[in-house]
Amino acid sequence: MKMLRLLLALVAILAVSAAISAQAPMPDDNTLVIAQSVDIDGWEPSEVNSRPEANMINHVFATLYEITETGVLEPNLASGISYSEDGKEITFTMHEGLTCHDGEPLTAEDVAYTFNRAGDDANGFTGNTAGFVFDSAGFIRAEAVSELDVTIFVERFQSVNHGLLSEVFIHCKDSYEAMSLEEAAQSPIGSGPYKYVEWVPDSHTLMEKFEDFLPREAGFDRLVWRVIPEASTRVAELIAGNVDIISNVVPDQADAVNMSGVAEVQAVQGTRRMYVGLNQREQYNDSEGGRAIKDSAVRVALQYAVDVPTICATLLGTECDRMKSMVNPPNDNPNLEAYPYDPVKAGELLDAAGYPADDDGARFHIVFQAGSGRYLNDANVVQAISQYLTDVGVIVDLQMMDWSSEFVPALRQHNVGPLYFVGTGGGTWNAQYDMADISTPTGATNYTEWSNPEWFALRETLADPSLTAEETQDIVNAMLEVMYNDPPWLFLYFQPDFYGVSNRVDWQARRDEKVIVYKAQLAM
Amino acid sequence: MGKYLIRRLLQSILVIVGVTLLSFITLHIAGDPTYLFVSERASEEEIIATRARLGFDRPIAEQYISFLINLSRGDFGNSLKARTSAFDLVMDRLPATLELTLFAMLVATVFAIPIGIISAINRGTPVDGGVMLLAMLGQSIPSFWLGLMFILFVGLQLRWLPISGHVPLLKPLFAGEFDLFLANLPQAIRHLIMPALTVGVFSLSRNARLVRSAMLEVLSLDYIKTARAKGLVERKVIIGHAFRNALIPVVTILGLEFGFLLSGVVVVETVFSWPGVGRQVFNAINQRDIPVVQAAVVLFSFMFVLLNLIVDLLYAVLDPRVRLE
Amino acid sequence: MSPPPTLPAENPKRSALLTVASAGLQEESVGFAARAWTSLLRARWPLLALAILALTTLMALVGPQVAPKDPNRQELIMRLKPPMTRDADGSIQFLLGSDALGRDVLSRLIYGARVSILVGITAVTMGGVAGSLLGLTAGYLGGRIDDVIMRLADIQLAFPFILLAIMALVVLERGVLSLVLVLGIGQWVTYARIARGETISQREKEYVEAARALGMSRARIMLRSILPNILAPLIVIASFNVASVILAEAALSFLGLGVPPNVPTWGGMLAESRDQLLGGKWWLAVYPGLAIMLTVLSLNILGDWLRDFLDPRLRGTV
Repeated sequence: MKMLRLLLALVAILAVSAAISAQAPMPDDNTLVIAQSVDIDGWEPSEVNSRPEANMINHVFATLYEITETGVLEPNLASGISYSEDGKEITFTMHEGLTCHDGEPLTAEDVAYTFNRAGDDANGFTGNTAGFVFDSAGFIRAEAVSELDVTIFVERFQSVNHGLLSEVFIHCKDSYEAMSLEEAAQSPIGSGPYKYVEWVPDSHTLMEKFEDFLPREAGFDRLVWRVIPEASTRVAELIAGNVDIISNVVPDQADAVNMSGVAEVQAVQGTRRMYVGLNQREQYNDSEGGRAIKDSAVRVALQYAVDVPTICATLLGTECDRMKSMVNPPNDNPNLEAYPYDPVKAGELLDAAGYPADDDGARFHIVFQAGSGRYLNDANVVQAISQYLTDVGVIVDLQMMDWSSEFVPALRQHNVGPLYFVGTGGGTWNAQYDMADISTPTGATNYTEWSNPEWFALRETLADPSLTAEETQDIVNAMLEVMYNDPPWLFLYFQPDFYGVSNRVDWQARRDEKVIVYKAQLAM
Repeated sequence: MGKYLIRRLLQSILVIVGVTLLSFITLHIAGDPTYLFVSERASEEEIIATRARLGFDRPIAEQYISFLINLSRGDFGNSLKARTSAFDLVMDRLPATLELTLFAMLVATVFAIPIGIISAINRGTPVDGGVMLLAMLGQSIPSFWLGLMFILFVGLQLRWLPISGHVPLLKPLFAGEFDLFLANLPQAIRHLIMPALTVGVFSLSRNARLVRSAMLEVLSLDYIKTARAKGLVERKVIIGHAFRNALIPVVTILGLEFGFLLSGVVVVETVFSWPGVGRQVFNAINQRDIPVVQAAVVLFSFMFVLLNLIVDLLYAVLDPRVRLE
Repeated sequence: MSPPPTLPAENPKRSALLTVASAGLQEESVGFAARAWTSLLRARWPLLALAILALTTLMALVGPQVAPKDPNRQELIMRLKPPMTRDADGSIQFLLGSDALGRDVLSRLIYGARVSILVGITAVTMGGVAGSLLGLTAGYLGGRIDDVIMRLADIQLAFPFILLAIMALVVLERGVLSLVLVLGIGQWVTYARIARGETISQREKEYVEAARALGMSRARIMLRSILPNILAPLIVIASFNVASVILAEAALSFLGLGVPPNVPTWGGMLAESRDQLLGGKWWLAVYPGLAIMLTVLSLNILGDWLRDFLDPRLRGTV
């Protein structure tokens, strides 16, 4: 009789769950249509797991401050910020007269509630806020000290805390206290420039302008976020005029877009740092290659073996500067020069390090692991790198893995390599944000377990709130020089990002992978 | 009859439990899925806490048994990602996939029959040769490729049909909103044509060839020759006698066809951005959202089993020679 | 089922029984090749199909000797060159063009034949052998074993193949072996069902009874007496299945679950070419597409002929 019950349930649910969902609206003078490759998993503002999710959430929920495209922190819901003397208490002052989308006034109490709810272990949140921001900032708790002032308590002073805490999406207290986690994931009540209207999973989301949003003026009345997984289909919809902005254009399809006369491709130098990790863990000592890259001289030699500019020009469809350290310009060390492509020198350095080529030109064998489908043209890039390394005698055994189910779990446990291909998100607003990847020798994101003592000694000295900006930069520069000479990574490039933008829209792509469209307007 | 039904139902339950076991084991062989549920920079404590929250710290057998106990109460659990009922999530997507599959089935059967008949009547002529060549081609093109070609030529170059997306049809129908159903109908069908053809073209080609073979067989039989000799008009011969026989191979494989077409939707839903179960379950497998995978797999196998049971019962009703035992 | 009674060796009925027992076999072996050849010649199209398949197989076998280049050798600056591209001294460098990494399309096509054909044939052989044996056992022994095997088949049938394949490929290490395994597992049920049905229809025939009376072991009866008589439909199905396996490989490549990208396969090449479609780089899609289509087409034509030749009863079912 289970069958019968299942059947009944089937009919009942079909009847009930049939929310009235129309098709995705088409672009018009008041409607902007954006297409991304993946959909949001749910609308919980404290559980955002990916960039495409953040892009959508970011229009429904506002943050305290906002990082502009030039890397400046601008007031958003908050109008000001102040620190206690030891830098461990950060007080944000809110704008007056803010409301959430259901009309509930938005005050300091709501901000404190947002932070404490996100940090509450009982909710089990694991997204960007609880899993990254709070850990990195050393968040303890939040407290409303007056109608408009909210204080965030953290474990230690860091100059990046301001920006980190500005990644938290703010919502109101009464509405979220009244909802279960399931309800919150289905029906968001936001605080941002656009109001959630409808979500048809894997098809589209509809948002409408929230007229009472004070900090910013939004452009289009309606936003439609479509989900189109296949890159060619996205481009076809853009050229056909059914979509205004698409992300992740394949570089080789850029010409087709530009020649359509309907849309143009915007290529921006992104902030994601792409590199080949040189895993230093003991477990790789069993292999020839694992032993070889323990030697700092070998790691330097490999930097000369890969022709990064050619990879950019051919496989990524744009000129790009080679990465010279883990920090995005302009916050990096200006005195460092990116390693040039010089296979002869790479060979000489490998000879000198004690790895001469045998009769077949082979010096040592090494395993190179990579996921596929995550980064721009990644499958081709890793094959090209393998070829370059093999050409200087480092015989690469390239192992492609499924990104989410194989590669990521191994990466998290620092079990990839000895060579592996990864890109880590960065920012333009603070060098230390970029350097947070290597916080301790066994830190979660220090996947190579690189343990250079100089680096970590210098890092200690940064936790001093009395340092001036110049003094901080000097320490940063010194650290980056240490890393340059004893590289844990084979430095590649900052990943360029390609957006397709309809000619009818005036919109500028950003470098940090964020798609923020409330400023977009009809082209004149 | 009653006994037979009960036995078939018991067997079906066994099959569905077997299906859940198979997918459960497969998804767990790959090791600990916890890492897919924490952020990029999660700490060790957080990973341990998450593992406990998701229940992955319990022995596999225990996890499966508790899953089965919940299943017997009709509870698939909550999606690990979306945190809402996995069953509801899948049911929400099912109408879109059903539209695609049923429309493809329609294409594969309704078109196949006249094509096969015309081909058989014109046996040996260029018409027959051309049709059969097309049918052979239809069986040798990978579906993602055909879909992209449709998008680029029919959708983008000619602008005859919408490139991608979905207009709901079954959902308003099930909800009793006939006005909306009728209003959506023209757009919905325009959106359906390319994806449904892509899913169904392989079956269409195969069925057309089957119908042709069956027709040829029948046309050469004595009673047809007799009918002709008796002076019956050619058209009547074909419609009256041969046609019914030509239906048999198509009806025979209907049940299996449904399963085959469901297999095709994963690729086609991705190409045409169709919000169906195929894409959902593909993502869920990649994200190890086990409750969603289980709910989808159980529903698919349930529909498959049910459909085949109905086909078998129909047989027994239509053909008294078939005994149910 | 009780064990078959054993007869003393000098039993006078023995020779008569032996004749009956081998009757099923004899019919198959007399002039088989000659009849097949005449039939092929008469039908013409299957002959062409056979020629194409022979050529493909030859290409797969001698690939490394005839391929102009290393199929994985990249030259980034020579990427996406059209067919007939010549180098500075006028000799043809890329006869069929180069791909997104500057690899030679012709060489990859030749090496791709190896993997695609190998995957197709081994997967079908694996699934076919396993399925046929299981079906044979189920049909001949019946009872509990039959129930278990057929329930397993039901489970697999009720489980959409692509989901099973995706799950298994996500779990297994990526490579040709995993792919063959998964595609092979996807095949066995068809063979098991047909083999079982055929076996049941043969089980009570005179020649089987005779073999039983002679005291042959069950395994021997199944493999030596029954199997040769039920082989025809299985071979016909297999010829069609190689084609569908090649298509399934292409679909899995599209989903990113095929063999690793440094192993050339036709399906993989076609899947990779989709990023170049809008850019008009037709050669990346046309050549592997043609290779797949010609091979699959040939297999289907040959399958049709095999069906009509070996087992015309199947017409209208496969």
